[in-house]
Amino acid sequence: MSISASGLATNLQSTSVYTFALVDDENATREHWIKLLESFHDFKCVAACPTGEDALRVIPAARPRVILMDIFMPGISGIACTAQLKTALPQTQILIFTASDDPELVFPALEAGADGYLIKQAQPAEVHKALLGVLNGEVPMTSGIARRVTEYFRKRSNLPHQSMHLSHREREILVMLSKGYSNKEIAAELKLSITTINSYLKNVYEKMHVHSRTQAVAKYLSIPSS
Amino acid sequence: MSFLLRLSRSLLIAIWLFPAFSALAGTISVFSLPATGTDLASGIDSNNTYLCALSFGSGDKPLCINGVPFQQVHLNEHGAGSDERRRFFSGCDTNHGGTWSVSAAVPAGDGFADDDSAIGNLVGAEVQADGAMLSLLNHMIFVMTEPFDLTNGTTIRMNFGGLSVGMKYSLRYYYRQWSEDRYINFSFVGEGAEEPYAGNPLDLDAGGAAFIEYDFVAATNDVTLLMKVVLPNGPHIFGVTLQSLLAGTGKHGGSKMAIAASAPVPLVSSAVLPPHFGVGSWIWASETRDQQTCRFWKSFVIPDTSPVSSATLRIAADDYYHVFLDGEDLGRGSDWRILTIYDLRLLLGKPGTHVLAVEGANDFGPAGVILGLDIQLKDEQLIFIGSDASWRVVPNNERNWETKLNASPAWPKAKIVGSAGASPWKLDARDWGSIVLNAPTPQPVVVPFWQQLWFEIALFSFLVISVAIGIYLTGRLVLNSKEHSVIRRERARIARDLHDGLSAGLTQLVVCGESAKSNLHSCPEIQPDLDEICLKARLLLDSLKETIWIVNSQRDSLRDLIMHLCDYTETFLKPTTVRCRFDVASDLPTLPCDVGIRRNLMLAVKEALCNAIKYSGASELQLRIHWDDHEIVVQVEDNGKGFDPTTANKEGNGLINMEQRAKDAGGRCRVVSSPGAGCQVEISVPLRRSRRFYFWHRTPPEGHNDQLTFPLKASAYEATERYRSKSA
Repeated sequence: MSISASGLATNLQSTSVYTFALVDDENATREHWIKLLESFHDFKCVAACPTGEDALRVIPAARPRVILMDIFMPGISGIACTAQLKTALPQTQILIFTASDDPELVFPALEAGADGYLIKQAQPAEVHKALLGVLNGEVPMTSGIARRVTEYFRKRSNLPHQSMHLSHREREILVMLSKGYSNKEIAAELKLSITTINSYLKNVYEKMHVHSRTQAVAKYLSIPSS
Repeated sequence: MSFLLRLSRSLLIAIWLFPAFSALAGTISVFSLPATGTDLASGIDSNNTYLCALSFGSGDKPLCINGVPFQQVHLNEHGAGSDERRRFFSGCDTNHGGTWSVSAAVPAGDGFADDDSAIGNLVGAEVQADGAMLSLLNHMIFVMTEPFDLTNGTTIRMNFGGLSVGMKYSLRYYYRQWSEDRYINFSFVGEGAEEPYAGNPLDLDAGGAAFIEYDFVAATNDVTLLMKVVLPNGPHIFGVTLQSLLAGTGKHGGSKMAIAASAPVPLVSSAVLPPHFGVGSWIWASETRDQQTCRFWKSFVIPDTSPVSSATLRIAADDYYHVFLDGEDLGRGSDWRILTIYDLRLLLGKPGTHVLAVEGANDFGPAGVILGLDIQLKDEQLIFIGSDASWRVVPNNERNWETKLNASPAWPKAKIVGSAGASPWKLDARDWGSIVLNAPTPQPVVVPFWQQLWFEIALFSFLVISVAIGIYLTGRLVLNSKEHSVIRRERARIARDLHDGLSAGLTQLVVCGESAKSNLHSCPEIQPDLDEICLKARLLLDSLKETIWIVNSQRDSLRDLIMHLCDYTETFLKPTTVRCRFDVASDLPTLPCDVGIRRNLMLAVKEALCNAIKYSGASELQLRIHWDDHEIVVQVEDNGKGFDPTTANKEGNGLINMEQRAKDAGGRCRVVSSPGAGCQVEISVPLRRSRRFYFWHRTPPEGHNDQLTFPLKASAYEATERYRSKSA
């Protein structure tokens, strides 16, 4: 579905158990998904929080490998929560877990530091696969997201720091993605490995996160960011 | 300098005013005519304007002198059906329009008689005159009495009518020597009073031919010539002319000229005015009180024959005055000793009726206003208006009295309370009227066009209309935008509710179903039902997602539409084997995009995608979006087997549907395909800047005419296929 099924890591060791946390205001959803994911045996829930505030209090101590984060919750939104948790736990993968895969909703979360997104009504097996993919360094980016990322960087093309601009290769990959090429096709076209492409995409997200964090700081200090 | 000029001009006016007024108005002179060339010397000229040209006597040939036709006035010896002579005759000059009458104060039985025999008795008539004049002077009438002893004191009266008051005329009586002495006292009444000839009695038999001329300004509509018999031989009446002097040259021959032809003649004659003051008399209301205010009114006419060359107003009052001309405030004064002079030349430029109005006020004791206005026209005519009994006293409660052109009959006449320079308004040390104050020359009030009534009315109407239109439009705009914002808010609310309620609930349903499935490995017979539940719930969620996107007013922009088209296409094609390529122009404008356009364009593209998947068998599909001169152009192109659009079953393959959707979005749809060459569907929809200001559109354009139907059914097929293929 939302996460590219290609390039799924296959060499998972059955002994390793990944810890995860779930932030969702619906009790039933939390319970069901914990049960469904734990039924795969390689995932273990270490924290389940009904609100973003709760998550900020509990999750940093629990140090999960991956967090599933709902967007619409009472109190602070999943996006704001993601931004703060990403600062506290930079190594932790945060996946937006929402009822809608509307990129317009998802993109702000990616911008805030989320590593990917899943939809709640997806088949459990699909979600399981996507989680493993993210943990193995796969960077989910559909052509729709790629288009928005391209747009994002175009709008901020006047930023002073060169390091925050897209490199030629990164732009090239993004443009191909937004034209509808799959990672595999891009790899073939550019004669790169899929891993390399993923690391480029990771870089792109990283730059985006730096942007959004800079903006947050600038906002805090009341300095115009651009 | 200007003061000196004005003073000298005042002096000049005073100098020529003196003879004009001291010698009364009319002028009576006697002129001799030569025996040869009499016609030419008679002064009768077809260039003159005549009211009457009458030849008395029994002459039977029509008479014409220098082109001027004369009416033959034949007076019978006897009245019709009677032996008595007639004492009264009257008629109308059919050549010139004037009326005449001749009467004699003689006993009944006596009266006028023609005398044709006179020609035979005439001694030396040909040495007195020649030409047509000789004919005129050979026929005559005279008064017959029985016995022929016209006694002293008998008066013959000739009256001529049809005059205009204030106009200048000349009445001439032509005569020649007879055989006996005839002494007549001549007098004229043309200017109100009887004016005798200074050389009375005039001897008509003094020798040769002559005429007596009376030049006057008509005070009434008629003029009278009175001949009082001094000797028993009564007068002979040969010929009379009455001419207007304004239009004609007024020139005439004769051996002497009593007055210069160029001498100014007053047009309006007031009471006798002391010429060195140039004012009328002191006037006031019939009674004088302390603390009294009195308003005086007088209108006058400036003829359009000649422009005004000067106009001077002199005024003084005891105790105060406030003077207006045609309603315009000229000034005020408060000392009866001082004569204030106003130069009104600039204010009297237009011919027609003007109104002079004075408001006088009295503190105590005697009260009076005195003034004189003399207007000189370029053709040397003079109009003089002095304060006299012809002024009207306007009641103090009258409104706009200073501009009224006609006096009300209810306004009483002013009363003369004293003459200029006389007691009680008399100075001890010097003459009254010698202290002169020159007021600044009043300028005509130039009203610029933007201060004129028509302009103000036009501007006011324009403003009223503009404001009305403005209010109307603003109202509509406010209502419109209010309506818009209400609808937008409501749509956003519906989208949120659908998302938070239905969507979240369905998601839980799916999760519950999946959870139940994982718990029920032991019951494989329930498994298909649970699968079906989960599938249906996911279908509903997908449809709901579409609906929410369409309803959500926060997605009303072109950018959102395009992003959504791409996202949808990507999602739609993901489960299939068809590769998807995007070619989206980066220079698309930022425009609002109406929900109707969004929805119909979306549905049209969806239809195109469905067609491509179902029928084309293509391996690759291109979605191209670009902006082309106010149009958004979306192309869906596949590399499939194609078809012939002319033979394609439009009903079945949704081509009609696609065209209808494009039309509903306000655009059009074009399908290019041929067998073996793929298919290209191009949907173009024009977009305007902002629809908000197109409020004069009575019917909302594109999209609104279509009910907002939820695309649940439309997407059911594809979604089912997708999920089936996925779960398989």
